[in-house]
Amino acid sequence: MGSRAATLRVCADGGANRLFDDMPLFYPHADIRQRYKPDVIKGDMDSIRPDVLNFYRNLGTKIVDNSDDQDTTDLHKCIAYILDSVSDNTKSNLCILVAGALGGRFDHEMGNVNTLCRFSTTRIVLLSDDCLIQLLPSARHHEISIVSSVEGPHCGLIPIGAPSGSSTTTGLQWNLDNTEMRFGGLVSTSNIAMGEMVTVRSDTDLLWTISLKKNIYEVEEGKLHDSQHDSLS
Amino acid sequence: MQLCILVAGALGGRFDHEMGNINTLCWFSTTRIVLLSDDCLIQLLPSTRYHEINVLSSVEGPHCGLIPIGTPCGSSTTTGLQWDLDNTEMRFGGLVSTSNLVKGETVTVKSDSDLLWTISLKKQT
Repeated sequence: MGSRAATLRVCADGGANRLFDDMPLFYPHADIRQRYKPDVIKGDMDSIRPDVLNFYRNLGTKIVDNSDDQDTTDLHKCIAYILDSVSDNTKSNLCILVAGALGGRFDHEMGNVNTLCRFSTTRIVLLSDDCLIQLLPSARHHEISIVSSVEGPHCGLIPIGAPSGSSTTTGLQWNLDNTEMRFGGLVSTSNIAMGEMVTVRSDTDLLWTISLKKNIYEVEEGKLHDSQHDSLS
Repeated sequence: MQLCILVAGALGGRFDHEMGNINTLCWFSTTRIVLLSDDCLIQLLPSTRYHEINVLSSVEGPHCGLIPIGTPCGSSTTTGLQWDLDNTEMRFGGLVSTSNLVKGETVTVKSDSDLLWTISLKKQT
């Protein structure tokens, strides 16, 4: 996770409530809500509070109401919006970070994981307080750099949608070597990243998950520098 | 077999732990095991059977889902949900039933592959 500010900040409607309520708790700075305002709030608008909606609308946040589309999740709508908003050039370098993607209701988590699978050609990282998840599309050699100051060592590889006939890794405590994985059989969990690089190759899409270290969001009391913080997007 | 094993604290926290716990449901597919968290529960619905799920609306629901964990589903059929499945395919990368709603006291499910059933738990005051 780099230190550049996000290019575009999009909130699903329920996420706007969290942003409004929680940002001042972490950063008791007078205009923190204005500094971290989303560029867009998008979704079916069934979760956002009226006071929150008005607050961000008055700050200039674009409100996009999709309440007529019940076939896709709010996250799916946000990602489709982001992909529509950026040029093809930007798309190839794009990395979308999704904060607050895990914990809470399991069906929401699985909906978010499914969104990773549906946008498999876009690099999307699901984040929680405890870990991150990324999709590793099949039949490609993946090199994952481990930034040990913020992530690891606990990790796993999950054959979420289909069994894997053959997966091979390097850099883990318990590497896979042309190994089968499936639910009801072997799933790589509670593994350990051993160094700075993990490689993965599989005949099926896998989820890569790695733990996040606590206290990686510490800030100096009373100071806030834009370059130090990743924005929600 | 009347046994039902409840597992508290099974969800939230590290995702690999959650997946390890779900894999345990799949290993012991002939045993009734319920994974519990503050927000919801998860049960495995093996493909071999027709399932009738009683919904206790004082403590659970209405938010629910059916997840084709580990393998695509060629055909699933339900009753009792806002968006029922009708011989419907489900798979990761395609349709997965999430943010569904239970409509009454009984949900029925039949599928050609193992599914996870998940339903929200109501906050107790």
